Amino acid sequence: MTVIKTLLIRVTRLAAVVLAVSFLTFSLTKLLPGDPVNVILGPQASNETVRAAVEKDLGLDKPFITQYTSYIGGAVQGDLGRSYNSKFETTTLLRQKLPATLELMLLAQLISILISVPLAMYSAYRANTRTDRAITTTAFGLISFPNYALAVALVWLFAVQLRWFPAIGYKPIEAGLGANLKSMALPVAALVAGLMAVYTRLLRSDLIATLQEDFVLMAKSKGLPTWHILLRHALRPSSFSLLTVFAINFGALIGGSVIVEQFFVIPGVGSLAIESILRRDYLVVQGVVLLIATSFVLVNFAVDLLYSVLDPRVRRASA
Amino acid sequence: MSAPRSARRVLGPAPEAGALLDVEGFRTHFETPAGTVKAVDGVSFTLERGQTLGIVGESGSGKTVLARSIMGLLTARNVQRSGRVAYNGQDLVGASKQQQRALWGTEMAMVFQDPMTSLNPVMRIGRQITEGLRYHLDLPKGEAAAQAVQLLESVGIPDPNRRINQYPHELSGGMRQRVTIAIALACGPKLLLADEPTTALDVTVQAQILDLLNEQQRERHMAMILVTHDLGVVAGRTDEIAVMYAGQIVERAPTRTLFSSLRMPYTEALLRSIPKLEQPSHTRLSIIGGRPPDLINPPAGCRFAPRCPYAQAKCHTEPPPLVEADTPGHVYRCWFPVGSAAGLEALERNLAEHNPAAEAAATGDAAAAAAVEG
Amino acid sequence: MTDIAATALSAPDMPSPPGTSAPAARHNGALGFGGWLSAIWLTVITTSTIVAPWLPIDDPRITDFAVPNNSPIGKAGHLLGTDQNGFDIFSRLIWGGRVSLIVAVGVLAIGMVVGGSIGLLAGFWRGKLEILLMAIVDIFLAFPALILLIAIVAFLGADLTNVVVGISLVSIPAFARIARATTLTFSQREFVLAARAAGATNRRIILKEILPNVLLPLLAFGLLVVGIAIVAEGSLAFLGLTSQETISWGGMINGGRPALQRENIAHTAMLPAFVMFLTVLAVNFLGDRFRAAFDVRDAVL
Repeated sequence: MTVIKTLLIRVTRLAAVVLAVSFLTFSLTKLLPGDPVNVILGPQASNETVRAAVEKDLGLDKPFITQYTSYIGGAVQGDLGRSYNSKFETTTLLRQKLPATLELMLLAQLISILISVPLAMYSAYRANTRTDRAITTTAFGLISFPNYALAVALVWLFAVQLRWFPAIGYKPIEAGLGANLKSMALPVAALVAGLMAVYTRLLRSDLIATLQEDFVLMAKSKGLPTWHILLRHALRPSSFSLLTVFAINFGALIGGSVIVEQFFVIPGVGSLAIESILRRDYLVVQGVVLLIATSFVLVNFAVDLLYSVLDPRVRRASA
Repeated sequence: MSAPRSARRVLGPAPEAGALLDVEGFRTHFETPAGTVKAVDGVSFTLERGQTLGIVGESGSGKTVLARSIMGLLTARNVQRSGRVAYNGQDLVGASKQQQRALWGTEMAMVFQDPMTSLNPVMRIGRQITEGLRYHLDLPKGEAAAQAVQLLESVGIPDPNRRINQYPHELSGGMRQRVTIAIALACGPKLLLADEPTTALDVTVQAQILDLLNEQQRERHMAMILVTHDLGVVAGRTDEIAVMYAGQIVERAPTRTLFSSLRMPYTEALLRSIPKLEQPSHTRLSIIGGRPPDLINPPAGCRFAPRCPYAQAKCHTEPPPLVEADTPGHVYRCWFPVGSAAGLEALERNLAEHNPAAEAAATGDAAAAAAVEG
Repeated sequence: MTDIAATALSAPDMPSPPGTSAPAARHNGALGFGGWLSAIWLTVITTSTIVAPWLPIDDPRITDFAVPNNSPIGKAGHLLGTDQNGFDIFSRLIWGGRVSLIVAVGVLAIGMVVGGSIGLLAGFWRGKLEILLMAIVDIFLAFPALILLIAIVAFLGADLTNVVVGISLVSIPAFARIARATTLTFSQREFVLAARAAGATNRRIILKEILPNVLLPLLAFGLLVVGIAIVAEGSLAFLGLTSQETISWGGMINGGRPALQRENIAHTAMLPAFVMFLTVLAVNFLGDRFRAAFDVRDAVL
């Protein structure tokens, strides 16, 4: 009963956030200067008749609220409108661009976690030793490294000097897994460096706090081996902030990999966002923002549920 | 990892000769930026099989550090142990981490002060009991679980079959402490270190937990070190008591002897701070004025001298050695012991000079005791 | 973006050693070696960019036709060589620092004043204002910050003012959140309660009791935002979204890319990348020390 109620409240709040984001985007595109009709018509833009016809065709002559409600009405049914520019459905464009972004993001997240969890565990266990200092200092440096600067350095080293990977370009999986992964290596590395550093720092500091807990001393006094204590006792209660940031990144990286996508010429959602912003292709911009906001909200919801799996105390509090 | 485990099994039924635990000139120092903290500074005692030793002292006297350090649980890099701790004849101070760990859980185990924090909040109680059993004794899952249920039953937890699937937050404080005791007992240790096991608990539950500890100890013929700040706790439950102050044992005697003929003024002060049933309910408790000394630069003479009602000039300059009283097995560290002519004379001299510590001791007045702090 | 980096960077570096209650006195308010290096580096960058017009360096917008474009370090009187347009790299690095400095100061000022005020008022008066603030923060968190920033700059025009306004706008919610959290902790403290009991007006309590205490933690957080802002401006310049007239490190990296990829000439892109890295590192490092001193993490979480 109460579980369902809290769940309902949460879902309503999340839906409200998505709605607010979409409304904000919608208003921004109307408020800010730059008219899509101008872009579509080019030199013909001064012709009032043509202009009115185009505006009517796009539904831009209707009042703001009507435009917004019809947009949301369509969005609920999976219709995000047509691109002003290419005449493609926005959903079609998103579906085309999403795989590359998803692959980039998933690979980067997976590799970052695989590297940072053992690294953080080792660093926390050996806190304040030379190895730990080396790890934390490196992580600190990587966080301060702008990803475009890193991308430039990576391309120079691995593509220009060593010729291990192509400098730019994207090969879809259909072109063969090897070629695909090769084309993804440098973009993924550019993202991994920063993510891994953030994750390592977060988990390390939480682990250090947990390792001071009485129950860790208790586990130690049972004569359990160190790896067992780190893995079974310390890791789970230390993973909450890592989990939160990790989850937020699933949403954030869809838009946050813009730079990497642009640099490496990967046809992803980030590149789509930039192109459509520059072309005043508002419906596509709105589609991208809506996609990002929705995934952000969904991921957050999933994290909330995961918390209650990880921590039985939360389970009781929310029940 | 398997090597020390099998080695332990060979060691297991060791010859029943000599003391179980022999501590000699044991020190535990912490290197800190402010200086070396001498938390345990030359402690000696022996503990026979099946016997109970009470270690009593204020907070900050080093008793918790002593217990943890004997076991070897303090592994921070700034910890320095020296002197001798022999368990069953095996030296622990020079032993490697692996050798020490091989004893934890199976030979010696610890019950911690606060059961709210010493149980893992995100692990089921059953798992917390069985993980030791499965690791040390290689028990299969089902057998370990059955043994966990049995253990919970033996420490007086009702409905153990349900409890093993619960999380710590679903249990009361007393129940949780019973669980930690069950965990400590799981692999059949021969030495149990109980560090203030009742301090964090409700007064009504304290006696039950202490009784449980005593009962388990008798049944298992297990030796126990009971660390507490409350002389009342150890009164009827220990064979011997060691009183600690500022990292040293200042008096040690068989329990009965200590209560009948204590020598050390500090012990006297501790004793006076226990509420007594025969006192009218609003009698003020005597509090020991002042604070335990700085463990980086302890006082040059007797460490208790600054707060002692008996203290004379000599006490502030010359550290008293541990000397034997006429009662057997009784040692203390004082120039002017309680109950001696010298002590009585010292106290009277201090009273005549309106020494605040002496007046506080004489009148049992907490307000006067507070004045000693100034 | 801001929030993720914030959580990660504000994690404390040093726990106190287990077994002792004595806190690690390792830094104890002192900057330490790295802190001094950072401070020196930032001072050098700041002063040289401010006095750039009077420095004896080449004009950053004049092509030197006497040497080939992309000429290497130390060639023909160019300390760090020339770039793809034959401009002097050393001079452009110094002038490029101006943009970073303006962005840093601008965003810090706007974020502190606007975000700080919102957070302080919300934390002090709680109630509906606070609910509204938290709702806005929620929405902003779900909003892709970089895309919003790109949109603002693309729509409003690519001059430096809009870049500063855009980055400030994106970081205001974070400032507000920190200010609110810090205010909440302080408004429960004894000295505030005492002032209230003594009949002080709300205005007086906010200005005299709470503001001085919120200011330093907020500034400590602000240093983190400064690092992010410098990177963000670089991102926009790197994507070619800012005015081509502005000399910016990000723009220099972008300009040097073709030569790096095609002709194996690295210094034109790598030098600005390195200078930017050092600057952001120095800002982050000082911010880290600063936050450790004020324990901002407690307030953030």
